[in-house]
Amino acid sequence: MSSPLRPASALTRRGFGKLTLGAAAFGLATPSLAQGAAPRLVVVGAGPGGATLARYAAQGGGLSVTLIDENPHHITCPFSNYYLGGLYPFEDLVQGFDKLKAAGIEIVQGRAADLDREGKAVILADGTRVPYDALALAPGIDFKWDAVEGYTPEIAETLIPHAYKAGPQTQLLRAQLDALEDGGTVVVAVPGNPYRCPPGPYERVSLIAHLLKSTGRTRAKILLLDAKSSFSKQALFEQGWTRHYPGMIEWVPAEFTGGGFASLDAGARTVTGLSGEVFHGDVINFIPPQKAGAAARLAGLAGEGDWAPVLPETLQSAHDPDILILGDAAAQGDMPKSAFSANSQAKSAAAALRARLLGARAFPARYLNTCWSLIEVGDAVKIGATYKAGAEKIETAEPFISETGESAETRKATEAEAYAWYESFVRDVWG
Amino acid sequence: MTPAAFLIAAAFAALLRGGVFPQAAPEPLQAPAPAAEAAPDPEYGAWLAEACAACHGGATPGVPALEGRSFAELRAALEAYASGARTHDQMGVVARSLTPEERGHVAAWFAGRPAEP
Repeated sequence: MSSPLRPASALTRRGFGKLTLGAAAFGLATPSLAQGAAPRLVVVGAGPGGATLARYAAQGGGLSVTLIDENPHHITCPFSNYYLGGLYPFEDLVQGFDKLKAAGIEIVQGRAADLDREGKAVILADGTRVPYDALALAPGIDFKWDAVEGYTPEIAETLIPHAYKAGPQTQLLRAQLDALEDGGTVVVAVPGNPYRCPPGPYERVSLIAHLLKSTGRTRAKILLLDAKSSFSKQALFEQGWTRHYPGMIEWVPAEFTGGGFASLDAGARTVTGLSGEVFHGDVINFIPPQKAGAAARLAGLAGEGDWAPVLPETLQSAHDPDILILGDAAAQGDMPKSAFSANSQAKSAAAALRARLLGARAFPARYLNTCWSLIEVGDAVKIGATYKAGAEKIETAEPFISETGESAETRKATEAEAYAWYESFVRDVWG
Repeated sequence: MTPAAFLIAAAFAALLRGGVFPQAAPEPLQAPAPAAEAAPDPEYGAWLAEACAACHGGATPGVPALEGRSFAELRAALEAYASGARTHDQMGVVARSLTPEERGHVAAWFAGRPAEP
């Protein structure tokens, strides 16, 4: 669980003197609280959960906030399906960290490789120790690479993208779709629950169909291979597919896939279901089964499970009160793994943290989520709920969902709302 | 809340209602607020408004900005969403997740913010 402590001189040689000065002076990762300095919050992951937490926790001053991410920017999964459909520029998905820096948040580019819970420090891949008084982990998801024979990170990057962490693979998938001939087949394979963004794959299929249709390739087929026998907003999507893309999308549920996927052959471009049935695609988008991002599985935080359990009122780890776990990586209860959920959780977690560390006024936790899905230009639907902190988990308070009988005006208003949310949300998270 | 903060909040609330003193009669709202309600608490309102920021972060065509609108208008809108007199998926569930006092707190906070240019 813990790595050996590094001497203070090693820290300063690494140019980390400023960040670790208080602790390094003692030669230990002593919490800065004990030395009268501003309490140090370290946040791992600058996606919707981590960046929101950093911004809201820094608001009002009194905390030293450091945000660690592997990348110099974040590329949002929200609206990456719009990009795949030819409806949104890729550059606009890329969120820089300059406004976070301007808000007084220290940005460190690095990968959290280990965690010393006793010494209260994150250890980066280059060996740097980053001490904390409070740590927040918002690493998103990792994929279960051992779950499907023949599917590897290398194959995902070059031949069969998952495109389920927005980035180069999203662009690879779009390039493959652009090269597809009319009459070709696209396979989209979807894992069982739980996974990031429950309606995401179905919006993706819709917007791939939009791309093909709008470029005259109406003889192309999309085979939607599913590990499940039902899915989020199913009636709404199925109605939309019949209405906008007749004959183009075929959903293949668990009954035919066997409830999951056994293997993938990148050369032959086939996916084999647990049922033994083999499916061929000229383009394959394989979305693997998922688990919490690595940082949330360090030092026993996820126990024996795939996700890290948290307390519903504060998002504190069930295993360590000095560690918060937010967003997709958390086993929190009823909220779906979505960017909106992560943003909402981060606000309650930040307020609770400021109350604990700084004696700021405490407020009751509040949680909210909405997932919009665009089916075709001018036709968007949504699902969402308010949530409350229950005794054991975050519980649904009141849900809502679009209706199949809605007017075209309502669907168009929902589409406008989705665009407005994305613009507003990006500002709320990254400044 | 400290006594000073309470007085400031009470005076603020009175101003929002068009009065000068805390005991001044409030303007009638479209949906009447329950009797014996506590004065709006803008600090609590600021906390509640954090949730609004996810969607109401600016003047975009799909979602209206809330800053600088009148307390009466904001409060009445929240009451209407809560009762179902006005319908919108998110606003219905959000308004109903707030107590009547909380609806006053968040309306007071947005009313006290400068309108976006």
